[in-house]
Amino acid sequence: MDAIRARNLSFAYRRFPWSRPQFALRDASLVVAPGTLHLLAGANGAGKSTLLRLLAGIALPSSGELELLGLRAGAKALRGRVAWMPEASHDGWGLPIESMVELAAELHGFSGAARREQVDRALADVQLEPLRRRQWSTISKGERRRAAVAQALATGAELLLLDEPLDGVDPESAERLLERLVARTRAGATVVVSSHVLLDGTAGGDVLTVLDGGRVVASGRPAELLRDAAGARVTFAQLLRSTRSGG
Amino acid sequence: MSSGVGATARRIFALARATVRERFLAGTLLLALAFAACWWLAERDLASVLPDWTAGLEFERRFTLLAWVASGAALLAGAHVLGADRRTQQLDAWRAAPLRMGELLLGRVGGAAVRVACGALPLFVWIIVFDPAGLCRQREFLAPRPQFEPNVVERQLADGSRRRWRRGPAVLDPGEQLRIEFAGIPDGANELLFQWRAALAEDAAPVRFTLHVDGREVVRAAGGDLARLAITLEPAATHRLQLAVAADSGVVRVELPEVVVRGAVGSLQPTIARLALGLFAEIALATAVGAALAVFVTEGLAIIGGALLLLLCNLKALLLDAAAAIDDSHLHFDESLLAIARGYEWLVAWLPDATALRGAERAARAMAPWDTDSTASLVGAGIVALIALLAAGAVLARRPRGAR
Repeated sequence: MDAIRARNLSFAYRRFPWSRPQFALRDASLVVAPGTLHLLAGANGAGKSTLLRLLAGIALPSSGELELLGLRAGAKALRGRVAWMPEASHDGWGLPIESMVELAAELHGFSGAARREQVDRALADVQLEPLRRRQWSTISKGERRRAAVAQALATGAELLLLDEPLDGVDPESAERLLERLVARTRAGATVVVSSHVLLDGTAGGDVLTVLDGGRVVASGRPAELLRDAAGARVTFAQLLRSTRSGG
Repeated sequence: MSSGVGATARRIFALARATVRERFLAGTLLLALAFAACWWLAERDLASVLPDWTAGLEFERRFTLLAWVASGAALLAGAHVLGADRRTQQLDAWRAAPLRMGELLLGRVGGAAVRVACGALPLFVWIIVFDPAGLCRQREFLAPRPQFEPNVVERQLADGSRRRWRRGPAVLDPGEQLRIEFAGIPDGANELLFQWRAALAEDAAPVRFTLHVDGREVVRAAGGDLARLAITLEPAATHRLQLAVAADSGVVRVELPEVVVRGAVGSLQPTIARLALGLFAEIALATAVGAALAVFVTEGLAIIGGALLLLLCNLKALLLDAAAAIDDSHLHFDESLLAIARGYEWLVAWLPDATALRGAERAARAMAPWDTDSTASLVGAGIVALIALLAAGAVLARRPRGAR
């Protein structure tokens, strides 16, 4: 059973009921195997966040079929099995990082020692152990993103949908974070990460799917996609240009 | 999703606990407390020189101010918690979590309301215990006292025939008597209140009558217009009054609704409990309104809309009176104004009465804490708050579908 199976997924926004639909996603098909780290890459406005919102069941597609963990997207039985980290950073209600991560674990049914263990593990994975008692609002942008990832990790969900977790994160921390996410996948979790910036660490991902203009333009192993026909390494920008030109 | 009442309660409690600790709420409360402290300092000297009989009014003013300050803080807090969650996509994140929208709203709104209530608590204690017009400082004057109405009121006409009096003031002609009996009065420092109005007869005969209480003559009056009497009664289960108007006298009107036996000064605890419940209900209502509106519109609009709604709740009695006055005097108004007044009356009738929540003018005086009106006010406010949250919850639970 695939963790995610999406076929011809489309989503269009309409400002007013009589406005023309603006497609954010068009005929996107995606298969994510369980226990893998799946990277979603693309320029700004490529449709990555919309795709993750559909996967999280927050919005329903205009058309297409979508199954997660063998269930229809948005099914109540999926709640608790899927965790979604939004693109926007919140202010953590002015609470310490630890408290917000603890809240996420508690809302997903963890209590007592199990909750503490989840929180400790999640904070260790994002390397925020030393800052655990710091107020959320007093930490840097990159640290907030990592704290938000810790919230998603602490839920213990089988499928993690992380929207731009690397935004503002320094390269070293980003690489470590990806390593920890890979370790989570080896333990059975499935992780989908979207990013408009790709790092060297993306080579650690199992599959890279590139979106452009709401369509899936490339998908495969990162190491293969980020090489040209001659086997030379290409940058992500070069990859995007080549997919647009049909190369 | 883990189900069951226990899991639901745990999730609500977790959210409420985190919300109680939210830093923004502390700022809101500090602002409200500073405002209240300034007002109190300005009014302190004035209150200390006022005579005792204004204590009830002064207490009501202070309690009303506290309720307004607390409601304002609650409205801001309610609008903020949901507004900020919406702005930062946190509401969407909750939607993906194993959390029902009702749980989310109850946890967030409950936590914010409890936080505001905790902030209002020192002010509440202050006006109850320490303020010059406070309940504890004016205990004799403001503590509730049970009140007993007559069991039997009998009028004896000049020809000797007797009639049972049922309701309203009794007007006694010359030569008539009024017998009043109070039965089943508990022991204690009971007090009889008696009120009458003497009027000259057509022939301008002087007004002369006697009042006996338990066989003892307590009043032998001649002339006078309106008089009130308060007599401490000897301990007895039954008290009998007899008012006799002389044969050559004018007319005496006994204000029977004002003729009562007041029991001993009671405990303040039920009144304090009622006031605390009323204040919390008002805080909860304001928080729920602010939060519910913040689901539909921006925080700023939610605060403005909530403030207008709370203003209507505070002015409900006044506005209903105005609408009724137009309705009663429809001959003086055109039909369209009458229709507006009636429609408006219907609309306002659905709103909870904020003044009734805090006991209105009875706030400080002999308020029966658990009477039907009190319960109805509290339950009414709870229902309105719940409806607002249910509407907000229904909107939150709805997932946007892409245009086809």
